[in-house]
This record gives sequence, structure tokens and C-alpha cells, in this order.
Amino acid sequence: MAGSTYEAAVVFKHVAGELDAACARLAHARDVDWVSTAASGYQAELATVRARLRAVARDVEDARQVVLHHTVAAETAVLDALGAPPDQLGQPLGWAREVSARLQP
Amino acid sequence: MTRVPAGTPAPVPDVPAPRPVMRVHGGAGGTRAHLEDLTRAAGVLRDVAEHLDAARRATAALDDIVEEGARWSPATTAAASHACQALTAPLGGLGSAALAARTTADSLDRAAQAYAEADTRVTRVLRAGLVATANLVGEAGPVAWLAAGALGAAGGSRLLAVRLLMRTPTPVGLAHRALAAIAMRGDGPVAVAARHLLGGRAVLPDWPETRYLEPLVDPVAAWMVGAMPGRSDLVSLVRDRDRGSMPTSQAATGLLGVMVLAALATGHRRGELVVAPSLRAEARPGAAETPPRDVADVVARIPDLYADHERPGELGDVAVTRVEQPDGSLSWVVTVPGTSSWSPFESTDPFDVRACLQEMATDPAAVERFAAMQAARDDVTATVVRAMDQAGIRPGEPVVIAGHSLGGIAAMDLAADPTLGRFDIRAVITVGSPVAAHDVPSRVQTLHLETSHDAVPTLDGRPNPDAPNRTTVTVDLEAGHAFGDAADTPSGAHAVGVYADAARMLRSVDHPSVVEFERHLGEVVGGPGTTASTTRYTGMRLPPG
Repeated sequence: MAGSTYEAAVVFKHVAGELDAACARLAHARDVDWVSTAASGYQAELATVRARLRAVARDVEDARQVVLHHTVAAETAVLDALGAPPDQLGQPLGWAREVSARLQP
Repeated sequence: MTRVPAGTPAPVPDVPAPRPVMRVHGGAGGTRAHLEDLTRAAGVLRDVAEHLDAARRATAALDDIVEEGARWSPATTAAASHACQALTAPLGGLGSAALAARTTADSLDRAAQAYAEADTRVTRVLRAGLVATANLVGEAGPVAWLAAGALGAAGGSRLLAVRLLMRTPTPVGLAHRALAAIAMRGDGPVAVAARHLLGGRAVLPDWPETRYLEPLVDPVAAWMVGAMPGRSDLVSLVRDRDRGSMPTSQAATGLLGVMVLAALATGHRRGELVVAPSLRAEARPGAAETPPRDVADVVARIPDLYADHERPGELGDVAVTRVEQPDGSLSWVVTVPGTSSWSPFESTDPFDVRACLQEMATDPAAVERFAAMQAARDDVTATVVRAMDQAGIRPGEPVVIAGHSLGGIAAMDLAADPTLGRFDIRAVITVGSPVAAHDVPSRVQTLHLETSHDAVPTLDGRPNPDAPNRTTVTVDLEAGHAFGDAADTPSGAHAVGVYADAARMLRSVDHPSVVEFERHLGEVVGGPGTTASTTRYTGMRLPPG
């Protein structure tokens, strides 16, 4: 399991990248040239989507902190058990799986 | 509508964007309707949904990561697991945000479709009403024309009075000036109309952008059809065509008939067309020259082809440029000038009004009706075809034809003519030509260059069709100071020199439709290492007898 902090960070970076791309694309969706009362309805729908994106982005950030807290705690426990230096924390450790197997209860 | 600010930086938020220099529609890059914005926005929202879905898929890996750590840190597992579940929850998670984006995209698509259908219906009904009314006024005879003219004159005199009043330091004049200032800031249809009525520098209203005049073409043409001798077919006039305007075509056919009859009545006979290498001093047949590389290079060749009116009797030329690639293969660029004779009778110059009318009469029934009275092909296209034959263009050798005004219509006509299959016409460039009614095979790429205040391209009463092989670029003569006072008069806006300048501006346009056309043109005219030489031909009608 060691190295999970690194993996989790990679996953969250990917998710954040997709969210950023979605937000950037959404900004372009506002540029609609029409003369209609329906335009306000569209802008309202767009605002809803934008609000959801913001909420999801907040959830992702919350999840990132909680999950990384969890993986750091788990990795610290593993490193303590191995007597490995704490600076190995969060690194993509090549020996992680072998060590993890050795420590298997 | 896609707007391309040529050579201008991206607008800074909250700062008014500069007036776009060019509008592009059709071609590889998209269509003209504002509804395109809706469809594009729907596409953008679907992209948003795709990104959200990708994010949701990525979060699936988090469950395993949290689970792996549970053994070593059981105290933090529940919170981490709960946080991950929130990201994939059916309500409020990434998936539901993606669903919301997709739902909005679907709504937009449906709205665009509904608008398009409603727009088509309303436009048809309005146009049919205007055309029918104008035709009935035409049929009613001179009294009705005078009454309609009096109404128009009354409106015009009121307008003149308003504009004169604006120049007086009276409360009413100041109020009008204030209204005009408000109108100058607006961009909606009402503001545009008010701007032309109240704004401007002169006493008379400015010459407006011709897209606002285009809807008047059908009614005016329908009135002309009604005013001509004989009963007009109202049903055929109001019937919508796939391409071009039926009233315009019928009016052109009617005028052509009147001219033919007048020529017969006065004993004026049509001379035989002769095409020969040009004798003009500037025509240096076969001299090596810089090969054309892009649209601007091709269009730049057209102004020189017009006859110099300072030299009596001089006629316009058609130029055929032979382009030789480094591998020895040949391609050709044919450039054609526009109308140079405004005589109602056929003179020695084939580039005359009659050829214009013949090119505008695109209704097959009308063309057939007058076929017996005129040649199968008008003398302009005949001149171009003979010039191409005399230049030695062989089957399979790629050809680009470019023309200004009447020359552009002739170019489209040639590209569409199935009997000219011996010429491999790959691209057509028209500048200031009414070509909405002309169709070309999909293998022929066309670029139509128009200026915002040129009335000639609107004479067919329709915008050019949007198709992947048809790109229309409209250059705004009032944006920036590149065109001086060209926008002030119809002739200035149609001048071939203005179009040559406008074509040069295409070099700074990165719209996909324009880029694709330039790429296609580049394939035909070749790249480095090509050589070119031009031969010019003059068409002339010999005096009968």
C-alpha cells in the first residue's frame, strides 16, 4: 500500500485538471449571440451548471484533503513498521508492494 | 455567425470589443446563423460533461487506495471513504454535474431547431406578403406606382426635415441629436434602423450596410415583374427556391426580353464574338512573373484587366496564367473583370448589361422562354471559355477562376456547367458578385468576398448558401481606417481596388474556412519553385455586316 499518497495525489491532480478544463469550456458556453427572452432562461440553466461545477470542485478539494490525510496516516504507519526514514513518505516507492507483502498480517 | 477580428488582440474582459473587420460564414469552419451559437454552446456543454465524466472515472481508483490504507489507519478510513462517495453520488456528484450539462446541451439543441423552423416559416410568410403586395402594386399600373412613390417621397421629406432639424440649435434639434447619440450606441435592429435615420454626418442618411437592404430586393424585383407588360405569375413569384430569388430571376428575364425586343425594333443586330490575344500595351504574353500564392495574389490581378476609360475603344481582358510546378505539371489561374459596358444594346464589348441580366436569370423556365432570342451562353462566359481553350488548358490540369462582379458570376457559371467537364475547375473566387443562386459541384471550393456596403452581391436577394465548399467573407468597410471613404457610396464599396485591399486582409484571418480555402488554393497553384506566365485575351463583338 505504500506509495498510495503519491497515487492519490496523481488521481486528484487528474480530476482537478478535468474540472479546470470543464470550467474553462463552460466560460465559452456563455458567449451566445441571440435576441430572445429565452436567453435569460438559458443563462439561468448555465448558472445552475456553473454552481454544480463549483460545488463539485469544493467536494473534490475536501475529498483530496481527507483522502491524503488518510493515506499519509497509513503510509506513516507502514514506514514506522519498517523503520524507514520519514522522508520516504508520499514517494512512489518501488519496494512498497514487496514490503507490504512482508508485513501482511 | 462567426466573427473574426483580423489582426486584433483578444478583447479584454469588461472592455468593449473592437468592431470585427470580417465576418465569415460557410465553408469548412461553420455556418452563418446566430443559431450556430446555440449549437456551438451545446457542443461546449457536452465537452464539459465529457470532462466531468473523465473526472468521475478517475475517482474510481480512490476507493482502492482508501481501502488499501484502511488496515494501517482505520481511524481515518471512514471519513476518506465518505468523501470519495460524495464525488460519485447520484445527487451532487461528478456524474450528476455531467448530466446537468448534457441536459442543458439537449435543451439548447432543441431551442436551436425550434428557432430555425420558426425563423424559416416567419421569413417565408413575410417575404411572400411583401412580394405579393409589391407585385400587385406593379400590376396595378402607373397610378398605383405614383401613389406608392408619393408615400415614399413623403417619408423621405420627413426624414430630410428631421436631419435638417438636427443641425439647428433648437430644443427639438438637440432632442433629435440626443436620440441619435443613443441610437449610435445600440446594436439591435431597431438601433440600426434609428442610426441610419438619425445618425451620420450628412443631411441625407448614410449608405447603409447592404445586408439591411437585401430583404428589399425581392419586393423591388416583384414590383418590376408586375410593372412589365403581361400578367405575372404570382404563385411562382412567392414560391421559395432552394437557391436565389425567383423575383430577381424573373425581373432579369423580363428586362432581358425588353432589351431583346427593343433591339429587334430598332434593327440593332448582335455582332459575332471574336476572342484573340490582347493588344493592350500592358499585356506581355508569356513574360515570366511571380506566381500567385494566395487569394490576395489572385485578386490583385483583376483591377489591371479593366479597360482604361481614358482610352476610347479599349476593351477588358481575360487573363490566363500558366503555372508550372517544379515537376513540370501545369495548373492555371483565370481572372475575369466585371461589367464595362452599360449600353442597353449589344456593342463591341461583351462585358455588358445584357450579360449581367443573362447571368441573373437563373430560373430554368425563364431561361428557356428566351433561349430562342439569345445565344446558349452569354458572351462573357463564351469569352472566358475561348480564352481557356486558346491558352491550351488540357483536361485534368487544375484550374482556378476568379472574377469581379459579372466576372465572378461567369466564373461560378463555368464551374457549374456540366458541358465544360474538359476543364478541371478546382476553385472559384468571386469578389463583389451576386452568386447565391449559382450552385457548383461539391468538389469545387469557392470563396466569395464581399464588402459590407456593396449592393451588388445582394442583388440576388439571398445570402450565399452555407455549404462546406462555399465560404463567404464580408469585410466591414467602416471598421478601422483601412478603406477610407469607400463605405460612403455604392460605387466605392464595389470598386475592384477596394476588393484587392480587402483580399490582402485575408492573410491575417485565421478562420478555419478561410484557412482551408487558402490551403486548397495552395494545392492548385503550388508552392516554392513554381514559375508563371500570363497571356491576356480580349473578347470583342465584330460589328454586324
